[in-house]
Amino acid sequence: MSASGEGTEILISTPAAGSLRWQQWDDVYLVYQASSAETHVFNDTTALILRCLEHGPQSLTAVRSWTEAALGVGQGQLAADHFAFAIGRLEELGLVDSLEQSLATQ
Amino acid sequence: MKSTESIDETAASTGRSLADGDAVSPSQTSLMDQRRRRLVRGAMAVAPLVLTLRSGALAAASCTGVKIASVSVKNGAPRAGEILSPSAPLVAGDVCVAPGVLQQCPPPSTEKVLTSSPINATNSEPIVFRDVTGTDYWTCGNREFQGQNVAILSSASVASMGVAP
Amino acid sequence: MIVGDLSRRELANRLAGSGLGLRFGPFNLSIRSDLSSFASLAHSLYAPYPLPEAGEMTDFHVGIRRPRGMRRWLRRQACFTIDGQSPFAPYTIEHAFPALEWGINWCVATRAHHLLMLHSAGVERKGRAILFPASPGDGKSTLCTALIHSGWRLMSDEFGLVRPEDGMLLPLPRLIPLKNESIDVIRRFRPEAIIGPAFLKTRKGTVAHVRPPLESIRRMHEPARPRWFVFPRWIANAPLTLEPMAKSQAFLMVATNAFNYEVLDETAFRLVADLVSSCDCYSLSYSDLDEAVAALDELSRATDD
Repeated sequence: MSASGEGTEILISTPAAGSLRWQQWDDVYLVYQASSAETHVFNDTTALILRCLEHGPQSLTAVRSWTEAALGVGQGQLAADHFAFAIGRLEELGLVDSLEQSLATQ
Repeated sequence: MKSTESIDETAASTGRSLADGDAVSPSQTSLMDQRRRRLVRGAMAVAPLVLTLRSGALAAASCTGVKIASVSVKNGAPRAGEILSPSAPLVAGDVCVAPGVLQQCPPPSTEKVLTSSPINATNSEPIVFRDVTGTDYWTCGNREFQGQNVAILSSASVASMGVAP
Repeated sequence: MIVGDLSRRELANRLAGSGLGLRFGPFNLSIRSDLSSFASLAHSLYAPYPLPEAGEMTDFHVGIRRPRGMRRWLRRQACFTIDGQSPFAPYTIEHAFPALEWGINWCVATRAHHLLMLHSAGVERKGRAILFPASPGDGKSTLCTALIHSGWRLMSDEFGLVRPEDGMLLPLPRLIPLKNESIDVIRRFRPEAIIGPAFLKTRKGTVAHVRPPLESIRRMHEPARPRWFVFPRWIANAPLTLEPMAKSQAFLMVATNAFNYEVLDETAFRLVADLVSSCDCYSLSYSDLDEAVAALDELSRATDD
């Protein structure tokens, strides 16, 4: 998966995301974040967003498209405001960061 | 973290490493089953869930908007359990939430709420339309919460708090 | 040696002097008191509990005594102390006994962080334990009392003490405080149950303490493997329902009800995940104790490990 040229914002996974401890039951993920000692509850959508970023920096558009494909739903089914909510929350938790594309390609 | 593995594989291996003596979590649902459930449950099933355990409660991230912060539920007949004079239009899918489950978010999001305890079947009820000629009305489930003030959340808000649709 | 081996005078002398040693499960206590009414009750209700062996370390030095100074004479009050400090406002002297019991709960909840402490009742039979995580008012103490008088061993009515090294549940078979209507419910359910005097108008209403059956106390050093989580809820006139609960929901309910989940960080996460993974999880709604006990008996019989 290569970084998409669409959009100027690139998402990356942080080291904190790399040290998460996961426990999955069905489509609910209990996740322990060592960097903050917090326990989170994610669903498939959130987990797949993080999964996508394990492969390297991706544009917002690419992450959203990849997540929709992994969920088995059509393009656009993951509503823009829902996706923005997830990204914003994951940034607040310190699990993802966003970069300007020009910085990401340096 | 095993970054090259799929979520399923990560979860499975984590389950093995967590448990003693192979008392692992139930068998991981296939991706096809998960996809099938999402198709059945509709668009809300793909809405992301991000909750955090804080001080003994689940915090819904970013504070969720509430449709109606407080509305009275009629106690007793006639029209027992009627949601009285809702200040916003009610639609199928909205949910009544019992008093005390929600708390006001800090400024500047004071018009929003977060859960102080998990929303579940014992403290919430989907609204039900009562089709009575000339005098339709809504109730909280099977006429629950009579005599109480409840909050009304949209289905989207409830989904963001982790309650399965 | 047990408390009952001491005469009332000997017990009162120890309480008023260097302290009465008492063993409650994994904890050794030293209790001091200058209240004759407390001494009398302690001799009665603590009778089967063992005294620690000579030389064993004491975990909590607690006391229930008259306050110092003029208040000692003006108002009849009792102060709970831990290591000589009084963390709480005084109680009326008539509530000295429940005050000490609540104080001991506080000591465990705030200090025993070498264990994961679930806010949960627990019972055991054939080496397998049911844990009942519940919020106040859900009826776990009443249900627990009914079960231990129906062939189950008491692990605890308040603390699910999980040992991090192996996930085993440690017993803490202390007196069970019943409140308000529950007292009469248990009197009717098991007239032979040993229930102490009722303390009226406490901060939690009317309270009376049930002494566990002797076997529960005698086996206070036997841990048990958790096998089921049952989340109870007493609802007046409700039909009995015992329904499987999703493990993700069970995890959240256990974690949010634990006393020290956030203190133990990743250890707590791992332990709760392990526990929930290895236990069958149910929600229980009931209004009739006999039905609830029968349902849990059947649950344990039906699960053939």
